[in-house]
Amino acid sequence: MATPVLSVSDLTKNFGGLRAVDSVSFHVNEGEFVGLIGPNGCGKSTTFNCISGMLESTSGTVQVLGQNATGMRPDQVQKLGLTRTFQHTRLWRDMTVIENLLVPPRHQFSPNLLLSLLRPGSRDAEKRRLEDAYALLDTLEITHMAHNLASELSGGQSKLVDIGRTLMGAPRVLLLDEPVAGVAGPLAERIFQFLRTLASEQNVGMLVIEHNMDFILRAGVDRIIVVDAGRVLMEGTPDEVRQNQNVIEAYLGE
Amino acid sequence: MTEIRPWWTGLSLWQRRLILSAVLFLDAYLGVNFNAGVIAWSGLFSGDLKWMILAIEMMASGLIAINAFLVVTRERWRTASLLATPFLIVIFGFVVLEFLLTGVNRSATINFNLASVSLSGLYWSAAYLSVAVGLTLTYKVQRYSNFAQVELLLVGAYVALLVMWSDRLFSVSDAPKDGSLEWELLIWAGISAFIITGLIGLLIDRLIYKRLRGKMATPQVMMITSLGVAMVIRALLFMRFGAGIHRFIPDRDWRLSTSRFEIPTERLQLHLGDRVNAPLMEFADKVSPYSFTYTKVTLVVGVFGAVALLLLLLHRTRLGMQMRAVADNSDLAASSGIHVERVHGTSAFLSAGLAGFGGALISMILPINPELGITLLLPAFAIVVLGSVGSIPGVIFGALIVGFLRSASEPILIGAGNALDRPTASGFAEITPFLFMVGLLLIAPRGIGHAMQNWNIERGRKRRPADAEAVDGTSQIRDLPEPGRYEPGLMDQVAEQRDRLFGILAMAVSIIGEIVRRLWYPVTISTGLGKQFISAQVERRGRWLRIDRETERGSWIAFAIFFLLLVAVVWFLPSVSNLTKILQVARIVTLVGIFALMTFSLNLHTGITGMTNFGVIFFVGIGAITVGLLAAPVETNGYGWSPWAATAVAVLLAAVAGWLLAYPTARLRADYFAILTVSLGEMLQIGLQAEPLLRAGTVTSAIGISQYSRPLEGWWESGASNSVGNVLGLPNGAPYVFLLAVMTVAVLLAVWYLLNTLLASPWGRILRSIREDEEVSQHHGHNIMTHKAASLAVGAAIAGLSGALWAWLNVSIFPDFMNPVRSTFLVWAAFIVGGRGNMRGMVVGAFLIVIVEFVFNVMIVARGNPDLAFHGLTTYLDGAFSWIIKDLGGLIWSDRSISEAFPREEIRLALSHLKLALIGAVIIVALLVSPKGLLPEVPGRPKRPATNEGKEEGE
Repeated sequence: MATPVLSVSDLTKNFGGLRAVDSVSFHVNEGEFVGLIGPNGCGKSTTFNCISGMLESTSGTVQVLGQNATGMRPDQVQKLGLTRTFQHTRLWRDMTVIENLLVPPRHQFSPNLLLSLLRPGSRDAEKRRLEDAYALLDTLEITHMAHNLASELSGGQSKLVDIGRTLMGAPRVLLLDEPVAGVAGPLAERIFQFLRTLASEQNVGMLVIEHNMDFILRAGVDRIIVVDAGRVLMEGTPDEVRQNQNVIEAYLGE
Repeated sequence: MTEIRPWWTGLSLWQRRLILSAVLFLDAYLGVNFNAGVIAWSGLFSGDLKWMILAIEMMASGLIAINAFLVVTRERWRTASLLATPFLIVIFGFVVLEFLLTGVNRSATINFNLASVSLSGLYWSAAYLSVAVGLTLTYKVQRYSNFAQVELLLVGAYVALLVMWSDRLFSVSDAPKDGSLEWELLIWAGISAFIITGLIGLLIDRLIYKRLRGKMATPQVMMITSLGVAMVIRALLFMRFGAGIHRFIPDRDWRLSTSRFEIPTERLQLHLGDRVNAPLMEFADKVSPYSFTYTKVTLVVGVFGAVALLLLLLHRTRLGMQMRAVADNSDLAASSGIHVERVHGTSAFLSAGLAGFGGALISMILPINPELGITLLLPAFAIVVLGSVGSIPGVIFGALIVGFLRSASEPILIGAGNALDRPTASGFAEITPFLFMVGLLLIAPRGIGHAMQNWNIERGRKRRPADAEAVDGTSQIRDLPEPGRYEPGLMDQVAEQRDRLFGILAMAVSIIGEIVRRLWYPVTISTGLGKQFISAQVERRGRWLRIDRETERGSWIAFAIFFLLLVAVVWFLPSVSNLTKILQVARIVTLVGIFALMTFSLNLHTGITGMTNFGVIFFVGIGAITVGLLAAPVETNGYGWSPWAATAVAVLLAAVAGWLLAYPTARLRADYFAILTVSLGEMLQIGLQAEPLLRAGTVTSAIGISQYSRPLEGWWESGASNSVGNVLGLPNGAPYVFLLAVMTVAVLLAVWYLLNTLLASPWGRILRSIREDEEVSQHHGHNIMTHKAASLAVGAAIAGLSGALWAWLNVSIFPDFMNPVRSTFLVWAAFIVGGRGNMRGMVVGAFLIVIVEFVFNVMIVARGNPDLAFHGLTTYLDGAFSWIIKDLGGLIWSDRSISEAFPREEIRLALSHLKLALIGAVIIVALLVSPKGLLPEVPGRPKRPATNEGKEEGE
């Protein structure tokens, strides 16, 4: 019996008179790799925004690792163990790649000014963070770019740094918004491969938005949630989804 | 106690706020009426200060309550409640006043002359609107807040004056004094002001903003550039027209009684506080009619008419449609065949032209001089913020609110001021719009216009329910994904190879760069720094050297070169004697230290954390005023503290102010934050002028703070001065400034070291990530509110410290020192030129600005004495200036316009304004040519720990 790391129940979001997300419920288990698909404008990103605390949901609850995350600020949600990425990769452009990786880790004696003046104790922690960051860059095969500014990266490299950056925050649930959008085929394959291993080896629950149906079918996800017009249309294994008549209709608009 | 915590966290947001508000109100009420509560018991405050703090506490409780009310109202009523907030704030203001007056047993009578309040409200609205409408148009189409808008208005005003003074067109001075209006003159002045100012606006757009757009400059950069433009225009106007006050009078008889309306009016009297046998509200008996001059009518009709025409243009013509299209999405507009640059040009012409036209009309009412700037600009910004940026109907609404607020606040301030022993309180009328704006931003950070906008969208939706999905909040249009399988094609392979190639290339470049750098470094050291400087200049554009300045070592080398160069300038700066040289150098050193501290503060706020702070002087002012007040003798309204304790409190107070500022402003857009901070500085300056509690040192009625004690002054005068004087070869002991210079350097180095340590820590990294994209930082687990607050507090503390040093250097504090043109904007110039985000750059920038100041001072002194250095240069400049004004300009303007500006027929160049023009130009050029500054930010490049024993700062 797998434990759910993220469970969303009856999540609803209204924009004025418009219902963008309509009582959506689903869950993601530990170490599970789940795809969230649906046509453009069906409320996928809005769902992400409501879960991560960027938008205030109209009703419904969100639980991360069994703790209530409803109505929390994004940083509080992240501290519960959930990190998300954005559809358009938003790196900190005028900082180097390695710095981008060093920002997210927790317990960097966060806002406390006085503590950061006490350097000796923090040296070791900083060294450990650096080692982690470089190790991660090795895995992602972009170590050679470590000292470049993030604005100098190519689109694919940016996606890799973005994923690496979220991992530095040691998340238990990862929400990825189109992690391979605009990335060349082989690299996209590699990114999905990496994510799959991450889910199974480090027990990270993963929810991936993708609007290209074929991509998600080939990515090797465990389960797919299909959303249309703000509602969950169906939920099932890739095979079930592939054969479902409703999905084909909603998706192809026939 | 243990049970309170879960109960408190269990409450919802509005419940918590309501409780907080109630507690604050109760505390303030007890304090006012029964001398009880926290404020009274703490025993820290007495007299006027006590009731003032209580009033602030009570007002805060009101704002929190209104905010709670906004939180609790559901979406359905939110628009209505947002629109009601301005009125709620005003009503609550009256309630506070009533409680306060009752508490201190005073009574106030407030006289509203209804016709006067409403009509002057109307013309203030028109005056502010003429600035605000151009601001909005620029914001809408070109997407930046234009700080030069008022300067364009002044250009229009001076064009009107030139038309009036021109004998060739109209001979006003010879016009018969028969009470008839020179309509022809008025119309010509208005039209030429519109066209000439518009053309100037177009020229500026072509020369500066077009290039910035080409470089994809951020709105923030455009806004800072407009600051430079404002400085240049202002200084040019000063040089041409002098500081004298002028007024545009299209007829000699214009202001006689025949040119007025007599309007019957009623006087409404409000009795607040301890009223005995008087009702709360009554109509007074004797009322003389209010007279409204034609000039004001012209202003109101002219400005509102022009804005109506603009609205017609925007909504009924093809050009207007194109402008709105560009405003909406300029890329999309370009791809649908709109000539975007032409639309930008038109918008620049129109917004400048409207300001110029307004200026011509305003110059009939307000006395015009180049200082007018900020007093009109800030209310105009308040209007834009109120009406939510970018909506012209919103701006008209905002202008009416602010105009009436201003005219209605005058009688209130006079009435309440008299009751509370503050006859000068009406000076605050000028800042009521900002106070109001601050209050409104505190409770509704997105402006009222946002609510209006939402309301409009909702209305549109209801009208066309079928298209509801087209205005989907997710801003995505439904389209169908392409069917078919994805196969990696040729292009993908190419891209893959490109990525790999790019990686290899980048590595190769960095290896070669490293080799070149390592070879190059010892060579330059051995051939001397001078040669290196030359090569730095020659190779400025060379790629490898630029890389070098963005490494730790290269940055230090560049810093050393610039620093030594500036020291050499100080060395050669002429001076009369040994004593004056020492005085001069000590003063320069102190000023460099003070300015460097200010730029450190600005760098932390803007360069590192990304909050555009135009109110450096606000925090500096808090520091200076607190130090002065606390250290001034008790007999003259001071507190008689030691300077050390005063400094500690000043720094702490500035930090607290910074911390508190963060919470209401953290969610504001960059330009709102800039406007808010510049307004705060202005408020403090006016407070310093009008508030008796902020006066000390001389007789209490005089303005300013003086006679405060300075640190170690006694010790210095009682011996140390003489021994140091002996060493320096001075007969009468060394001046105190020398000691101050030493102290400043010590403070500067200490702050520099501490700040560097902070910024090298993870905290500095987090702050920079907030600058880059705060939303993402928040999603990676950082509470941006706390970090911004900490950054603001630390920066404010540093600025407060520099304020203390400033107070000691200048011996007395007058409101004038807070003039942003002479403080904040100079700090900004230093910041831009030095290099955003680089502490060494800050020192170089500050040094440069101070040196420029001193060179010009020396030039001014040299004017009268042919023996002094620079005399020749000054004489030459005066001659050239005179030629420009008389011979060249004489072709355009009349002799009369020259004699009006230069009364004694001596045409002299105002060197201090030439300096400001140069500094403004430097800001513009720096942003256009090298936006990173002399010493660009050095990105953190920590190496892999295993290969290098934990060294954190490599290259």
